[in-house]
Amino acid sequence: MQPDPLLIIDDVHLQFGGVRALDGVRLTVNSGEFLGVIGPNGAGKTTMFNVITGVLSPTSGSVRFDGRELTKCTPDQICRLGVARTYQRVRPFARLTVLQNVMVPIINRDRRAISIVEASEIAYELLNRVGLLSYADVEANRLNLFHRKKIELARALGAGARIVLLDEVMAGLNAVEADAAANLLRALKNDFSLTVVCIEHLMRIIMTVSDRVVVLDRGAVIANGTPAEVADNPQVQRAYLGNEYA
Amino acid sequence: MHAQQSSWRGFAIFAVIVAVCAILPYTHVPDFYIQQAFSILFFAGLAQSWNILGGYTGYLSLGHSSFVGIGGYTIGCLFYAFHWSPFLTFPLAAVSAAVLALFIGVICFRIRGSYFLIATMLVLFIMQTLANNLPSITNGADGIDLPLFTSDFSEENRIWFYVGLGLMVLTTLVAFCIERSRLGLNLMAIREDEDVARTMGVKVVHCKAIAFMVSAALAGLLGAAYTYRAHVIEPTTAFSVEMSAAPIMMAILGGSRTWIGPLIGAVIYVAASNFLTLSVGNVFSDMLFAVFLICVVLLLPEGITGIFARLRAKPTKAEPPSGATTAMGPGSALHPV
Repeated sequence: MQPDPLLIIDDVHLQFGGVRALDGVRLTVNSGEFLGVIGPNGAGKTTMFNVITGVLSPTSGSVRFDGRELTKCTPDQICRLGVARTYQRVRPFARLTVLQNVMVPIINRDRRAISIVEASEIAYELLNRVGLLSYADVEANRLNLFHRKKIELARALGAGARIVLLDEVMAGLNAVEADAAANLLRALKNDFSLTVVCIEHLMRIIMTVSDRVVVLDRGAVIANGTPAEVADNPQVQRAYLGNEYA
Repeated sequence: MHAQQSSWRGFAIFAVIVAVCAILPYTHVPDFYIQQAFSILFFAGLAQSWNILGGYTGYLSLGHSSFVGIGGYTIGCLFYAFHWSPFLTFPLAAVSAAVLALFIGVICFRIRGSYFLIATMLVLFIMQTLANNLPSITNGADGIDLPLFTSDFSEENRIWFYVGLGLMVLTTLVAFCIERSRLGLNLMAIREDEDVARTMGVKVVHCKAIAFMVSAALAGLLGAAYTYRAHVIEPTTAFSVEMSAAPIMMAILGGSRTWIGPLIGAVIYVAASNFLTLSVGNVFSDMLFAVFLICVVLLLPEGITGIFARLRAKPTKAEPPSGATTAMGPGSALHPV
């Protein structure tokens, strides 16, 4: 596949007081790829997502999506450009119904006004696609974790995302659910021709679904390559296991 | 869709009740009740208007009476300065309240939760101080007297009853439409999680500003009616904490998530407080009323309409929809509401 950069993160620094959360992150995400992001706790993975989605502004550096500079955009603009995310600690709109949850990004995604009825039809389709149709009228906080994670996926699709940032969608799922989630992700990626960036701790899954894996440690990318290359990288082993074991 | 059907049914019932109420002044109902009805209608409208920002959007304002006051002072001052008829300047009450809301919003929408509550309360005190200290415009603490428009007592009562009814219906229609609109869905998303709403494409500031201005404009109209009916406006009653707190308690009492809640809340609130005043006298009634409100908040956190919602939700709980039989992992326990 010819690399076609869709998202370019260039030398992004983010400092909270004395803490360097991001320390010169450089990363290119190609169109249509499934990129796995791993790294120890506190490496800056979620912070990187927050910078991409405009929730945090970087101290310096640039984030370009499809030629647009994202660091100057507000989170809602970035969403309308086609960047959507899910949250590590799932955050569906708790007391809205599952259907309403998915309708929120749909009614906001175009300049053209989408009517409530039209939006609900699109939302029903997406719920059907992720397997939540029977829960459409149930309040989101009544669903189990796996289903709430699916709401977040459907919501990202509802935003008309071209790139989806998944923050540990597998965390907390049991083995059966994690496999189901991985299959669903693969299928959705194909159907909606998505580019996926996926933070994940579950090595078994991330090593099988990713086209490419990058490793973040202390706010910088320390390794980048195919899952096999990354697993063999001594620097990565050091970051995870410490000097004496690597 | 389930919820939407029931919402239309609710609106049909509301329309019937309004139609029945509209005949009341022409039956043999004593004047006293017609007079009391105005206060129920006024507070129902006020609670409804507060709920647009407080209930749907989740921004609790303790300064709602700022808009009642500015609405009243708009017609009052224009009469005081130019002798313009209060009936003609009514729409300006809505405009000035909306402008004030926009101004407050620019400053206060950066803060959330209890900080927003406190900021709006401080705005209320600022307004009261201004009204007291700008005698050339507001006639200071003496206030402004407004003319009676008819000397016939029951005719006057009847007119105000219909004005109150009209304003209550107007605010309810606005709330009903917002609730079913894209704006309403965005507002509810903001209430649930403002940061997530923003990353889902919601223009948060824009939506909050519209909600605040609509809420304020309606309160401004109600304030103008309230003031003209009282034939007087002065700073302490125009900008009062009581007037700000009442609609909050009504909306919470009835349930702040639907347009029905504030209406039910207002009726019960006014009825209960009048009943207590008549039966145990002024001294203990406030205390008993406070106990009553605390009980409601403790026992019915979702308000009275929350009971209906819970009853409707029961079947889903007993019999989960098909597809719920996926493997249940450690994190998959049904989360309590």
